Amino acid sequence: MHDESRHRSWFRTRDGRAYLFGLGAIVALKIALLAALYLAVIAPQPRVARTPEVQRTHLLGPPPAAAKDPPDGR
Amino acid sequence: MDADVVTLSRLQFALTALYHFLFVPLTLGLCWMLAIMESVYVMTGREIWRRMTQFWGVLFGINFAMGVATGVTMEFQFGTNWAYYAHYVGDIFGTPLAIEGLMAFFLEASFVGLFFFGWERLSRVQHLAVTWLLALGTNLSALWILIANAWMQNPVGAEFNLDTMRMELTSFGAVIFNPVAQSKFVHTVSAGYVMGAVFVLAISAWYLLRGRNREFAKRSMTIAASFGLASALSVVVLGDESGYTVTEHQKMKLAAIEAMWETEPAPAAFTAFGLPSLAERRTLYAVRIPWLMGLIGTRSVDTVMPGIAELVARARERIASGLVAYDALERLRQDRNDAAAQAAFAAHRRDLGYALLLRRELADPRRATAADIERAADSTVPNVPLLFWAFRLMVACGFYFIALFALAFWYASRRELERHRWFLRAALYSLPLPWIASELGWIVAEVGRQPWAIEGVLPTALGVSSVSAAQVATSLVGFVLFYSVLAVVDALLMVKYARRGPDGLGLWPAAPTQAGHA
Repeated sequence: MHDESRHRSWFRTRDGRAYLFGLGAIVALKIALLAALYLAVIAPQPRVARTPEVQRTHLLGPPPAAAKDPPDGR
Repeated sequence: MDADVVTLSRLQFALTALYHFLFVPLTLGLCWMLAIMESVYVMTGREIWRRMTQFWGVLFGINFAMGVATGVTMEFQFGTNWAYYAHYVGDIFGTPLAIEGLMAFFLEASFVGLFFFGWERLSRVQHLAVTWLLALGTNLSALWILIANAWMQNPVGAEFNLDTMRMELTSFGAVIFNPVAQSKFVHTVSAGYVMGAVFVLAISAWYLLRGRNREFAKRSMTIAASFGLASALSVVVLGDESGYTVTEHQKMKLAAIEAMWETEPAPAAFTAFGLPSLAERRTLYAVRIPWLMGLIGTRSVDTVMPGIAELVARARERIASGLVAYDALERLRQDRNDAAAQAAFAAHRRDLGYALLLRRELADPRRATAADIERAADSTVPNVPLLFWAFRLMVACGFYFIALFALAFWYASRRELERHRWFLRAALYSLPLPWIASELGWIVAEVGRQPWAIEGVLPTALGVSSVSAAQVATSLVGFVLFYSVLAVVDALLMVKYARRGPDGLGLWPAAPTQAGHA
């Protein structure tokens, strides 16, 4: 190994730069895809109402007066 | 509840989590090995150790870049597929996740940049500090995620608030120092260390089999053998500790892992082999080792470990108790100041989750028949055959790693690594095993928690969002396609750079005579 290159970081070589550029591109692409996924698919969805009453209905079912069981009792 | 939505949401989360965990443990293990190699470089000044750190850093970088952000989709799913779960326990569960993002991941992400770009800008000691901090940040990330997961297994430091209808944090300290979190963290990270060591060992063995990069590979194998042996021993010992916490906090999970259908006199026998039959509720062709399970599970000879039948009976009692809490909640819905209802709820609140098991089939659990309660109690039994075999295969891998690293350590100490080609082949072919063991470990942990999202508090079925099965199926297909592409790209990149090796990348001369530089 030549002296001048002996202490040179591999990441500063042509190969190393290409490697780091590739990794950076992969990470950037993934972040862009995630952001697109969020903005296009998730953000437009209606948010779940978070009032205690909604949560109560989810956990316990509708209030007794409104509860309707199927004919077999289920 | 739409059973399809529950099943598909579980499948989607499981697939993304299992995929994410293809990358995480390798990062956890490799970063410490980089720190060790660079420490040797700083202490000895020998160039080959610097080059080793950079070469394994190249593979570490690929794994890091391909793995990063694959966990974010799981956090999306808490909102999209598990909205009620997120609302019910988000106050507690979200806290460690937020800390992980704000503290540990930022630490890790900052230092990974310095690791790659800082070689010529920082002094040796400064760069070494960066590498150690990178390893620390990576492991701290795992800590906070596992604290969150452990809370699902053992929900401490929180209680149900009647007014907000959700679980709220009462003691952050209890959540952090949850005994399940501690044992789970050390077991999981040590499994990652084993993976890192097997990865370095296997690729180095391939170089030696090809007669390439010999000095490089022998040094790498020596580091991997030492680090791997310590890690493999730790993972088994710490796995035992993890199992012990399961004995205390998740008795049904343990009974299912052991296919212990009935309570046995202490100390219980360990079933080394068998075919658990869910239909017959017994294990066919069981090969049993007397005393062993009792000694491992309870660390005593006189503590009885309850079997599945007894635990189902206990679940039945807790459902009955939970129905009192449920009824009290309904009365409080009509009159928040009903003192009798408040007292009844306070007395039975810890069993409310068991009554909620009935909500999967009944609009009003108070109308449950004895048969309904029996079915709900039976549903607390997870998939016994899957747990039984996943656990045994994971443990078998653990003991295999001890043998593999012990041999590697022995041969490395005697400078005989190259002489035993059969061992080099064995090391190479062992490469997939740590991934298999890690994934099996998560299957045991998470399938064993079913039917609970939060053990004893919230049934999984009640945590899902009000979405359609078609919506979940669509996103599931999307995730499978996207993640499959990522997995293929990752494998191709890893193979490409490993094949090129230190010689092909110009990191270290191929000629063996250059070993004198070391």
